[in-house]
Amino acid sequence: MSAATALVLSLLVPIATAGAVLLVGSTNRTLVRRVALLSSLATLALALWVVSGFNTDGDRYLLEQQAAAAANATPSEPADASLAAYALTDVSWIPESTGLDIRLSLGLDGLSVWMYGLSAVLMVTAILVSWQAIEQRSALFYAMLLLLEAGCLGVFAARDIILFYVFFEFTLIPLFFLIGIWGSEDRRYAAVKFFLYTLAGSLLTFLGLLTLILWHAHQSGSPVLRCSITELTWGLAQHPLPPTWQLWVFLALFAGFAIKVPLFPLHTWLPLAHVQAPTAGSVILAGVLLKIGTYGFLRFSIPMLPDATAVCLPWIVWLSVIGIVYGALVALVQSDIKRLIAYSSVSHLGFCMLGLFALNPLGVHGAALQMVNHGISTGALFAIVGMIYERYHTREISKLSGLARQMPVMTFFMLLFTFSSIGLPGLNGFAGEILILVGAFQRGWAEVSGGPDSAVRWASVVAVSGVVLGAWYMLWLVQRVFFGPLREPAHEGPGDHGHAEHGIRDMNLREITALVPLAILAFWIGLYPQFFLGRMTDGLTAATHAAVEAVEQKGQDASNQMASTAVSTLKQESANRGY
Amino acid sequence: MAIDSSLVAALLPECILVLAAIGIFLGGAWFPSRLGWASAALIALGFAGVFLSSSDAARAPLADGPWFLDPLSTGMRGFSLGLGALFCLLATQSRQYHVFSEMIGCLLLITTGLMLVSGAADLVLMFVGLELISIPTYILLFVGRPGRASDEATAKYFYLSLLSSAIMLYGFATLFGLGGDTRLVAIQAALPEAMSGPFRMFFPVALLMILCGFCFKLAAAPFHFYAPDVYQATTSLNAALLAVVPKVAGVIGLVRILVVAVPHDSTSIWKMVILLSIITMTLANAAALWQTHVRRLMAYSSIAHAGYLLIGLSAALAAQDSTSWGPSAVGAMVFYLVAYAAATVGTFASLAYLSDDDQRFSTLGELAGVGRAHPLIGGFLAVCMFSLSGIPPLAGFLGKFALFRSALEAALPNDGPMNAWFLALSVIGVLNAAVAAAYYLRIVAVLYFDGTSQTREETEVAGNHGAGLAALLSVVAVLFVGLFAGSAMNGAQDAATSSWPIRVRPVSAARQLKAPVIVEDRTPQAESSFHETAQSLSLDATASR
Repeated sequence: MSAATALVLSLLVPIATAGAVLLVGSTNRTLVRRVALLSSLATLALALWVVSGFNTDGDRYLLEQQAAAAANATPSEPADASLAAYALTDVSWIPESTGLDIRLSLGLDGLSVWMYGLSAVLMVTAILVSWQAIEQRSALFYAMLLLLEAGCLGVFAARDIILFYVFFEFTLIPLFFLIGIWGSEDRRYAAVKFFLYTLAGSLLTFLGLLTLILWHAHQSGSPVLRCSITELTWGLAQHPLPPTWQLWVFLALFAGFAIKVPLFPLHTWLPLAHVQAPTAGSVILAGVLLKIGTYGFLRFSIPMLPDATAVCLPWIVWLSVIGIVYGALVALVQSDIKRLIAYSSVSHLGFCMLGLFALNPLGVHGAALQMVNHGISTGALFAIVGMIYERYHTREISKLSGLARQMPVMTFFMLLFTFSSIGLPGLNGFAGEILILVGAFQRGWAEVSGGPDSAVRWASVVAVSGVVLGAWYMLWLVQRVFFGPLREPAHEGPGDHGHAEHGIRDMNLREITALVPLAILAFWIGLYPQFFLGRMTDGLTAATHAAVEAVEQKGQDASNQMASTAVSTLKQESANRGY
Repeated sequence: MAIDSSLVAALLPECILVLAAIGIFLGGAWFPSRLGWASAALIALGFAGVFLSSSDAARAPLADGPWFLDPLSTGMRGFSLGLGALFCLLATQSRQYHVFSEMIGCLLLITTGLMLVSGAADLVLMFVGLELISIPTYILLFVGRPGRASDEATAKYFYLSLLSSAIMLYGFATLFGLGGDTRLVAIQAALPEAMSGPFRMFFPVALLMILCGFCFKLAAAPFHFYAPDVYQATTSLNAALLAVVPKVAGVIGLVRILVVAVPHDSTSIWKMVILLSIITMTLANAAALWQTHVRRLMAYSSIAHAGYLLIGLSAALAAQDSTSWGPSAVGAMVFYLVAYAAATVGTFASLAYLSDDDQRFSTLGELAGVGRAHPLIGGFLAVCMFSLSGIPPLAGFLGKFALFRSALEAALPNDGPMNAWFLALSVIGVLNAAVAAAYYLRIVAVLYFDGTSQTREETEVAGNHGAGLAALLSVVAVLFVGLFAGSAMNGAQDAATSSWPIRVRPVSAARQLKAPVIVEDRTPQAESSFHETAQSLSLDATASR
């Protein structure tokens, strides 16, 4: 089986299973969840098969094309989309004869490969943690979860801009149902707010993407609108949009992606959705869906709108840093464990955005790695919170204490992923955060790639406080909930006499199985990040190439202007003195 | 014009439907049978479809007649037949036993009227088609559900519809006075001369009155006030009919007259359409947010969709010639109509399945728990709601995609400055789509999130299986058009391109202007030379005076 076939199958298997489960509509919970687990395991196997054979030939091809174009200084042959991605499947969806060439084009490159793999891994975790928690309408639940999986995998595998958007929007539907039906008390409000907030932004994004497509078609003189991401990236590098248009299109894309990330101050939907969602929903939302925002910036905004990226860079850096500090401070005062972790996501995603818009190799690598890291650690933390909730029916920090005595195994995993989240060296979080911070400092101080940027300088200093605050709120949480004297809420069930010690069991094999793959990944990335970084380098370089140049150009312009202002001031002064 | 055998052959599907309608009207007096007459109507529609698909589309014998035989005409006639079949299915289990054959007959006549409008190349024929839609609709509204509220709604619709028809007819008459002919092709040929004549100030008057008349058909602001009251008071079948049929007829009429027949080198008309579009969708979406009655909510939804359709119209009007985005804008409108009609009929058919003719399941609260107790119908409603709000991969998404594409193409022309009007229209349009999603989602939320403890027995439904089948077919259409959009988009594109103006060019000198020659010419150069000639002609006219 070729990798391309496996990639297509990895999308079809969950869709087909979801369809079958929905049509049969079985009320047999055991059967349904077994089928769902098998389906997600099969998808994982296919995804691992695809990822294990990944090579960066496509990215390297793009780099060579860029170098050739730069050397000739004339528009060379357009990049061949079929060579630019790994495991590419390219079938026409809407035929050219309609004047609109939309293709079912799936493939991976350095930007998407790890997020694609992580989505498949997290879905197994999500199904395993729902095993007992979902009692009602399980057929609909698992069908929605599998559809969500197909959507997540598709977003990262799409090589066509409209296909990307289709998957991007489509993920809203299953998550809407997951939050709205199986969520907590305020689930309906949370589901609707989540959906509308995201939709409003992404519709503006859609206008932006459409403008890019139209511009490319006008400039290349093609009567057919082409939507291939490779071709658009290439075309927009050859004939970029005028700067003012770039700014508007950048803002349109920003509306959708920044809400998805979420970047401060557009984050208000996130804590609500996270707290109300069922555990599986939170795991996928934090682990995968938020990354679609950062991925969108990396895939579209930065490569296609380099000049606007250079202009917006300081603003976005500051918004990220405000998000880092604000998220951390708000997390510090939460009384609900899930809400605390939700705000920690705001903080961590701020780091991702900071790294991306540091726009130097270190920062961008760190951001791309941190996208995966956050998925692993926060996904696992949400899963553990779900396990606590299943046992005690509360997430209040003040009602829980000393759980380590009851559940040593859970405490082990909680500590592990806490350390991973706060960036303890040797675990995955460290590798990402250190790269991001060094990248930001480099942008702020070092005389490389466009010279120092004073706006970024102080932002990067403030960002470091996020690391300290992160350690504070996470370790304080672990201390309060897992250590100290044992305190558990009284059980509410009839016939229970409050002897919680006999009712509460430690993690069982199923729950351990759900977390072990994530733990392995946390160590792997922490100890040998080069394995993951190396496969991203070419893709990241190709994607950020134009924006880096634009930033350098802007830096030079600024210094030239400063120099010329200085010269003119001198002349003025000398004139005044009457020489 | 003598009755031509080729004309009869071209109109054979319509003839079959009219004969079947008369037969059903008469036969129903003696043999009251619901299943029988419904099947007879479906068989007639089937035969009409067979003849339509087998008729050869040679346009030569009818090129200057009252009838278009282009792909737009054929495609929309086929679409009308499909809609007619869905409506007949929807009506099969109506409680109005005593007038059932009349209902079915009226539905066939409405279908015929829609087909006539689709192919009309003549103002008179188009008006006859529009009236053939309106008059049976009055009857259906009246027999739909006896009661004071329904009577009031029927009267409201009746008088407003008459008024709008009169305004439109006045517009047609003015256009006839300017063009000297009722055939659209001839009007197009004669207008340049008329525009230089003393009566040219009547041209905007004619356009305005025609636009007003069609805005009533579309239920676009400010002619939308009837829709909420009428939809609320009447049955689901009638609401579906009102939401879809006049809109289809209105769009075809607007495309045929405003976009194709009338040279639109005046800029004011598209600006007005943009304003109408913005007002329509914003008003409707804002009002729909507060509705608790499902049919009333759907009425505002249908108004909002009229606003989206006007986006395509404004872009088509602003396009200077067929080489630019004009055909794609018209194609977008046609595609959007199909997507909208499928989802709307699906919604009302699902409601009819639940409640038949009576008033149950008409407030949001009554729909609580339906998603759980009746998963199939709940799923249908959810798919239709998501499609109407434009979520991929359903048909509504591609429809919105096509419309916004045409607006953006008008906003960002190849060279030259951005067009702020169309840019504002696109941004307001997408924001409206986001607002609209709020009330569609509310329906889905009620279906699935509320009343989860209710069981199948507690939510007793009418179980109208004809309506259920109609809902199933509509939802299949929504999914199919969304997932396999190629053929539908191709069809819409072909139809739009074929309908585009056969441009008229005066043969060099003013002397020969009496006998304009029709030439098919789609190059921009021909276009500009045409305008130059028209200008020089008007100079000549003033000089000679």
